[in-house]
Amino acid sequence: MRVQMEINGIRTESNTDATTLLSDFIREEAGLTGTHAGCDTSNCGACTVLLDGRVVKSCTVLAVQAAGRKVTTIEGLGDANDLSPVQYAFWKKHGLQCGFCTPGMIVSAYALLQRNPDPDEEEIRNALAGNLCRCTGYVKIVESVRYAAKLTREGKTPFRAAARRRKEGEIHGPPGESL
Amino acid sequence: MSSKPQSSGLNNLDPNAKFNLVGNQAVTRRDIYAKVTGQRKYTPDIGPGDIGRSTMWYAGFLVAPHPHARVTSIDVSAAQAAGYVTLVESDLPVGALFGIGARAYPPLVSSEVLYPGQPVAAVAAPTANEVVDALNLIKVEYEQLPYVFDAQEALQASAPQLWPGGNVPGGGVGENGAVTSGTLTLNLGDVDTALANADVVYEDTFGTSIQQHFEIFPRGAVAYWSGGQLTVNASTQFAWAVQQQLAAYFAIPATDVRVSTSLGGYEDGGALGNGLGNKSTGEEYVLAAVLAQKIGAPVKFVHTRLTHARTTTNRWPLSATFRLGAMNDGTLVAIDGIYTANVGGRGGAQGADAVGDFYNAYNCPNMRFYSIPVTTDAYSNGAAMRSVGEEQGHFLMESAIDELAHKLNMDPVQFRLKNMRQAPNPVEPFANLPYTTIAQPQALQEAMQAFGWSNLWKGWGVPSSVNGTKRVGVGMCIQNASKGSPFPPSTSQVQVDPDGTVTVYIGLTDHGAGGNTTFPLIASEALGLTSMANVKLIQSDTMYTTNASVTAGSQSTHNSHSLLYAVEDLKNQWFPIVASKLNANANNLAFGNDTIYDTTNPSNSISFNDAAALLTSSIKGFGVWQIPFNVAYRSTGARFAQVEVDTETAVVHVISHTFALGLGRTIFYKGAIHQMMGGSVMGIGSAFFEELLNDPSQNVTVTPGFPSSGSWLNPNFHDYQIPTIYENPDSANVIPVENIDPTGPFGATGIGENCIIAADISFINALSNALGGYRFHKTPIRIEDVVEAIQWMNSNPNGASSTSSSTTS
Repeated sequence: MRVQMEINGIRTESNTDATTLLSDFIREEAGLTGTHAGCDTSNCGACTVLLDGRVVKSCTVLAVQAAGRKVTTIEGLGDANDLSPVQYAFWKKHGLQCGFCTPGMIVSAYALLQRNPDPDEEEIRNALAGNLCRCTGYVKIVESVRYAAKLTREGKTPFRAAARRRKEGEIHGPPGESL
Repeated sequence: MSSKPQSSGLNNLDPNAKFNLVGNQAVTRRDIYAKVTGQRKYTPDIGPGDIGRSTMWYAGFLVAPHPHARVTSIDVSAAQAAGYVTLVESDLPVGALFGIGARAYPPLVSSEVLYPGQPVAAVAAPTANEVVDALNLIKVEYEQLPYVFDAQEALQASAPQLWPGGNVPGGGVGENGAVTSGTLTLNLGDVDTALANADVVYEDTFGTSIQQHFEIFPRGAVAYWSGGQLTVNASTQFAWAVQQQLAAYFAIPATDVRVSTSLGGYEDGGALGNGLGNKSTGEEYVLAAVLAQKIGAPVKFVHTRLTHARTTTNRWPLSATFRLGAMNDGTLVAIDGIYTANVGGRGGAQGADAVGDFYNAYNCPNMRFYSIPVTTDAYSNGAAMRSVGEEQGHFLMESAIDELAHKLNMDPVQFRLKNMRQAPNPVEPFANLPYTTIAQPQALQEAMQAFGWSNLWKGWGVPSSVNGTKRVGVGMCIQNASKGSPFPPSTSQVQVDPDGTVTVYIGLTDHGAGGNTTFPLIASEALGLTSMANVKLIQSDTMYTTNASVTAGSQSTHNSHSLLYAVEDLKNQWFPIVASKLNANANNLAFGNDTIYDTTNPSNSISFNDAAALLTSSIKGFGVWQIPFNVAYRSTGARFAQVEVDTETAVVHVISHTFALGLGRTIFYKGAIHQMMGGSVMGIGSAFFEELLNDPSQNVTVTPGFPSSGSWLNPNFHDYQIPTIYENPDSANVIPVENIDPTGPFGATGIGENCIIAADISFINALSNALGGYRFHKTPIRIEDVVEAIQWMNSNPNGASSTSSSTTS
């Protein structure tokens, strides 16, 4: 059947099976592979996206259920010209190791800060409880979200400059300046 | 030392040396930008466009739900009629085996199923969605056979015999002629006499359970052929071994097989997510290639969570019965240990590594170890999971040692300080090998002070605090684990272009640990650079890099020592050119702070880029490194934990964890510190949740549509619980100890697996202290075990005595 939705502001339309999962639609039809699939049982959260602004695990939503709605994936939170504060914070605070769970973590944290720009630690843990990570032990992930909240509250926006410098190849610049 | 370790002239081993990049806390993971923006491609993310093709097929496994069965028929006709491509064992080359280790095996069941989850067939479909449909069209009939899960039961003569030659891979010949190795016996001094003369003898048995890596990213591969040449983008920690295996399998030259963990781009290497030891080899690497050949199109073969949990490898259950003897002054005089390793349906002869931990960790004149591997139907294959047995072995050892100190009523720290192997001049006792380095006693002392042990420890079975139903206990342990094995040498290359760009080529990979920052960092430091901005990396691609060892065993940093030799080789080509420009002697030139300068007149220098511009073409240096064989290469450290238990709910919470580990030299600071934190939290899962379960009931009526009795119970994240974000210690303190290792680059020893080894027993010893000194005997410590401990404590109000046997002579 013909399914159409808006993914990261871009209208995406495709013929797809009624049984196709939103996660597969995003990955296969829209070609956005930042949304990962790690389990099959809606536990790991690597596939987390926003559906009309609300957090969903895209492996538990059928593509047809998202028809006509707005989907935001990790790729929609920022690009080479403008990182979101959460992406910047995970970068700056090293909130990841292998990085496979990171897109889901960042999307969940982004949604938390949208509805609560000043979460306490318990609220951060509650918001990320559906996202599993096997590498980091979560310590730096919590720290990253706290830092993102602080940047947001203080209205600081180093993200554009960071993205631009990355684009210009300065990511591996001198220590202390390389983020 | 029995021999002087080789070392590059560029290897600065001065403990007080100042570096630009080594240990620099500002250095950030190089691929982090790609990871936070979702641009990083992992194996499942590879689409046809990424490899220059227009189509791709998708594959999956049909696995046997039975623990032990004979395959009586497989009917693939319906699947084939529907247009899918199927594979069963008879479609594969005769006698072609796969797998690393003692028991090589065909990638699909030939006749007998040996564990629940063994692959029976593979299928490929033109869309990912159809793979399940295709699998459902394959009909397999089984004749179920008696099975055995428990290692002790499998040792009985009446037990089902799973391999020709019996259930102990005892030097016999296995299926298809694969040679298996057997039991291990080690004997030092006179254990029986020492036990007879000891003041205190403590005897007890401890055990662990089947655990699984459950890395979030499932293993997989994308394979495609171009004429007679095969490319496999595999999520592997050992591209070079996979290349050799594929070449042997297809009987083609290795040069016609390209294995890459990347798409071939700069810094894209290591697209394998977390490895944890589960990604050395895999059936799907070869089956993807067979299917791709058959179909004439690329095939992507990624495990489902079920097949990942039950078909790939596992951490094997290990049990040990100890008799330990000590004198009243706390001197350890005898260790007698019998280890039994349940190695699964096609496991090899593991177990010896854990034995080695005990005789390395403690000084004792009389030691006897016996280790026996046992085949069972419980699971697939006992193999590496963030160590090769050491994680289990440390639980066994540090449970027993703690309880012996308890029997002696001696502070557990003082017992370890008295008996553990430590500086100066530590030697591995059986082969008499000198250690390259040891972090003890420094690691134990630093961790003890940082934790505040002397204020918190109130005695055996006496909690540090009791507040209503909440009791807080403290515990500790040490660790001393082997680091990898002397696999083939690792090589690397470092190239400088006339425009000043440096390119590092290395066959090792990055599985989240930070190798793709560590490798260029080491090369950059050796080149005297203050930044990695112009340093590119190509890694783990058999087409572009040269041979390397497995990225495992906590030895990749050590193996990247080859980079120093590569820079040395580069220097020998480059400095004569620079010398004529500087009017200096090439032998006097050195790299430093983005320049090349004359050491006899440092102001006579040229910038790195200007020196590169003297080159008329790129130059490349080649380096080789082999871990020495004649030394003991160990990682040592200590852990302290504070754990709270609510005696009303039996809920356990880790309050704090302090972990000091000898790193030799910290190379990539953030990567090392964060790995130490992550591994420690992973140990909470090992201690309290993680156990891969089978339905233990025999001969139960099989419900249609559900797996039979003896099948899997929890091959998913819902039922197999790994630590979530709630399972964090309130405080996680990690302390890198810099015990320079002269065989490592800049003195580094490596880290990886040691981040989890012994974490579980530090928490468990603390829980024991909170609960009156109750001794837990088997991981994971489930909530019902905690309830039992609470009941025991309540009925033994004086606590501090054990349920296990001990004699005082």
